Amino acid sequence: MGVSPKLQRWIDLMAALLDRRYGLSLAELRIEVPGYRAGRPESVRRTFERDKDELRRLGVPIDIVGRPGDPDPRYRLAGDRFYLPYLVVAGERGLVRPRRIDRDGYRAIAECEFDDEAVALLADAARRVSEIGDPMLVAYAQSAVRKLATDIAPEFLAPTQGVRVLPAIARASPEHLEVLGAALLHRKQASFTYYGIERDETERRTVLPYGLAFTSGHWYLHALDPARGEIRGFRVSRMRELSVNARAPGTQDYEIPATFSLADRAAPRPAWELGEEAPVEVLVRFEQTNGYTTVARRLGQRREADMACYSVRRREPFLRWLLALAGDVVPLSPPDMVREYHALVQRTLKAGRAVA
Amino acid sequence: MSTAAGRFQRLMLTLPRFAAERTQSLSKLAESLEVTQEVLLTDLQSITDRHDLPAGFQEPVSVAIDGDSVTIDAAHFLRPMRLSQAELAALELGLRLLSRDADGETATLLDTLRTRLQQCIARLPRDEVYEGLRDGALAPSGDAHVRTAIRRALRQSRVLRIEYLRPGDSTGASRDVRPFRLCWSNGSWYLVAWCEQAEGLRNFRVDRICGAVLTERRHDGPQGLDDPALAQEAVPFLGASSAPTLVLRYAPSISRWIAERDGLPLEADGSAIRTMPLADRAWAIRHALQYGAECRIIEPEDLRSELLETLEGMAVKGRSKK
Repeated sequence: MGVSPKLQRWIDLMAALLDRRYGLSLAELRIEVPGYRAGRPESVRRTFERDKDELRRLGVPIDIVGRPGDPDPRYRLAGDRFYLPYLVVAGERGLVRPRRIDRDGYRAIAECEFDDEAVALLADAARRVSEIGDPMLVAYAQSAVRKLATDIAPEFLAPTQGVRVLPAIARASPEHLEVLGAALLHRKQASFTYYGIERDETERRTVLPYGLAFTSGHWYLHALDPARGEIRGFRVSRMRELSVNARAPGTQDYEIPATFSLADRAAPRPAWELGEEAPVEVLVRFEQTNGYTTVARRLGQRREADMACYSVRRREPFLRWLLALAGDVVPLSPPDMVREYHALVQRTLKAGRAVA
Repeated sequence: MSTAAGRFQRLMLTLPRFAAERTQSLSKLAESLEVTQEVLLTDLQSITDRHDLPAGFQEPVSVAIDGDSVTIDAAHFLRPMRLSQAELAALELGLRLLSRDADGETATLLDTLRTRLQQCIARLPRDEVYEGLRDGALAPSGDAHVRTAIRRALRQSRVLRIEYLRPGDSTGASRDVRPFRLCWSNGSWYLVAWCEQAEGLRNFRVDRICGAVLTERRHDGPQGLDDPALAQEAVPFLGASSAPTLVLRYAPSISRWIAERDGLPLEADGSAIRTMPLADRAWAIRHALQYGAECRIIEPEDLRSELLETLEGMAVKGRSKK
């Protein structure tokens, strides 16, 4: 029960290749690997090519030795490229080294030194990934940490207790994240029904995924929307009926342009800085110093001791943010923003009086 | 991930465990690998149950199981594989989430860490398909040095001296606190800590902590606290169970955002009603103000009057400026 001929071939293939410093040809592999003995040469070659590609996808660095176009190249799996380096931790009490394996094939493995504080940050990083809801990322981060834990003692690799990122109530579906992750990797077109909350409308979108970003607690797919001719951000939790182009699975539907930077799009920005409108510089004065205004100051550019400037693309969110500062911060210019602010105060007051 | 791939990855973690000791306890091994014994046994059997092996073929992995003891010889698999590009990409996302939130010293450490991790990966053709596909950042929340100090205090169970600027105060006040938790919720970091001055558990918004210094004093951590309660969504209202109730109504024009953020149902008229403990009157007024005429305080009535007074003050100030 549970016997896996494929897994047996993989293990035999890797063992054969690790055993020979200069690699093996397929003809030689047919002798070394029982799973390649039977069958016609073309069929065995196809099986071998599939095995090699799958192992490479799993991170096994099988190299091809020989000139391009060589009909019978050699295949090599070098131990120093395959085995994890010995991980050494430098801490207050000196270097902590793992036990080395004193056998052929292992003696040349290099060492890689980590600072103990850095290892703790690594553990925190893996924990942070596990909190953001993408099961594929969680699996990869966990398997990475397990590999590192072969050499690094648990006391170094323990995440900081008590640090947590609490998930948003409206979360992205793990299945959607997994599907979008695969679409990105294979550069396949994705289609979904999207709820545009601003316009309170739902419509079908077909996009070319460029990246997934976890920004301020929510996953966003940044993708080219060919119908609109621009790159847009879609909150994954607002997607339904997601599907990925299943035609021509071995080919890419598109390329991500070199000019696209997910890092720029992933950075959190205040609501008034989002959008495509031309920015307006708004000067404000701080009339009070307190916990609220201290936080508010950090979002703008300091002008004088009690003034700051904000770059505003969307007026409404900025005016509401100013309103929430309850008069501790007031706009000074431009005049139309000042007028709109006071109109908003009057409107809110009028509504409040009507209720009273 | 396919069954063969999943098994392969588990085996590549399992076999190196036998580098130091050829014989180990099956149950302990399964526990340390975080799999069941059945899964572990199936993985091992999947590569060792063989038929029709050619004469003279020496199996690369031999397994002998005797009760809870398992003996493995796997001469070629005594070290784990290097990290794959996919594993590195996952860790790098975590590191980026940390570094966007880090002070200069920590950011430098994270950069070095990234370089070292690059030395631990197996480079393969087409690795570039993984690059730049995922990124992330939490909203900036206060001074990065403060967050670093809190993290160190949590790691070392040390008392932290913080300079905290309460919402209504113009200057910060010094407090010695025993950090218990650092939570990111709804766009802000919160420090949950035992305040030695107040002799109680308190919740501090990290962006209002102006300074934080680690003291030499260690503590045993908060005892007897209801841990699950602290993990609730209502982090900002911790300890406010005896507070009066605040009821807010959000107009239909904005209620869909509120419903999505707070998980509220919509009323028949399309509005949303939110009920929470009124722990901080100034916070409640400012919260209502951010929605302008679209948010109404239903309860308590005196808070509604206070909101009107605030707005009248703002309106008077506006008229006097003209």
